[in-house]
Amino acid sequence: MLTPYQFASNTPIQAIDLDGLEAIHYTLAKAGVYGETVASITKGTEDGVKASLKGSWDFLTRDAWKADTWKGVYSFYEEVMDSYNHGMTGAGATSYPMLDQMAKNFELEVIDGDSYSRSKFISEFSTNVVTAYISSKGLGSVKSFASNVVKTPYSIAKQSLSIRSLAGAVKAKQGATLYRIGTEGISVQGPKAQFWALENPLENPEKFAKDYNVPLENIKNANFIETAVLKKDANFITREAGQAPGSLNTGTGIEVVVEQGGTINNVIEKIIKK
Amino acid sequence: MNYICILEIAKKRLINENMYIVDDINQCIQSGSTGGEITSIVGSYLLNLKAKNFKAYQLMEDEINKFLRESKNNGLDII
Repeated sequence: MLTPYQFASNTPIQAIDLDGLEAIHYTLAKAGVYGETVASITKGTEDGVKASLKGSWDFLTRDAWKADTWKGVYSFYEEVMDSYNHGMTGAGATSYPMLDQMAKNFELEVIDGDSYSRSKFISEFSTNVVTAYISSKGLGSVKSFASNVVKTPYSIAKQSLSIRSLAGAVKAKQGATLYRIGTEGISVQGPKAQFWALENPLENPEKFAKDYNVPLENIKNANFIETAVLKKDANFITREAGQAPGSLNTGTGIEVVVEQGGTINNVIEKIIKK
Repeated sequence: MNYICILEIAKKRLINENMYIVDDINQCIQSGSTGGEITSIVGSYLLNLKAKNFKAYQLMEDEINKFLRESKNNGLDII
């Protein structure tokens, strides 16, 4: 029976319901039967779900359980949830029920959990983060964040929306140390430097070379290392440095690309070879 | 098509007066601190080769285009 409250004519798997009037069948929508706009929305949704599933799978099968990764991801979640809870309970509120529940679930399902509970947590987490972010900051801010770009003399770098990249963005924004190595005379230094790593290349050069898609010789032959932090309000993006053209994207390092002059506290140290 | 593949192709196809391009690509690779930086510097050098040395560019045109296309798909639009 059709009622004013019926969603997608009771066929929510096969059909979508954009306006609450009539169900739109997914395959027909994608084929363009309901017009170009609906076909475009349908395709966008499908691609988004595929990308999200792939991102989650990559995340789960690679470095999902590294402590530092989780710390970054959780910080991102915490910031969003904090903002969301403020919005729900009013400014100045000291109790954040959603955040408290989230912390409990994190401990229960990720730290003490098994692979099933972890993957369940990830899927819920992704949905919650996006929902909370949109609720607290508005759809416009999400759109604007997603379309963030930084221009360098060689390329225009776009923000990656993978969980790892988002976690890296939060880490960088919270004042994490940025690193770059190079060779004096051919590598950029100081305020002009735009590509930075979130990990120290000298701590584990082999791992860094793999994660950041850099030849090991670059690290071995480097004669300086520079550190800095992001300037407040600097325009920057984060992306997977290992995502090289044509590669299978084996690297997990997140690079920060910042506008020229977007870093402060720059310290350049010479590397003395033993 | 990553920057190492491009370097190998340049080594194979470029001869005599164009061998300096191999050295240039090598230097582009050595100057980078992260994968994105190396890809950007190498990509920009190859893109500009079209205006600077068209004959050499033509010898690697398909591979250069592939490199630039894949860079763009990975979030780095080479200029």
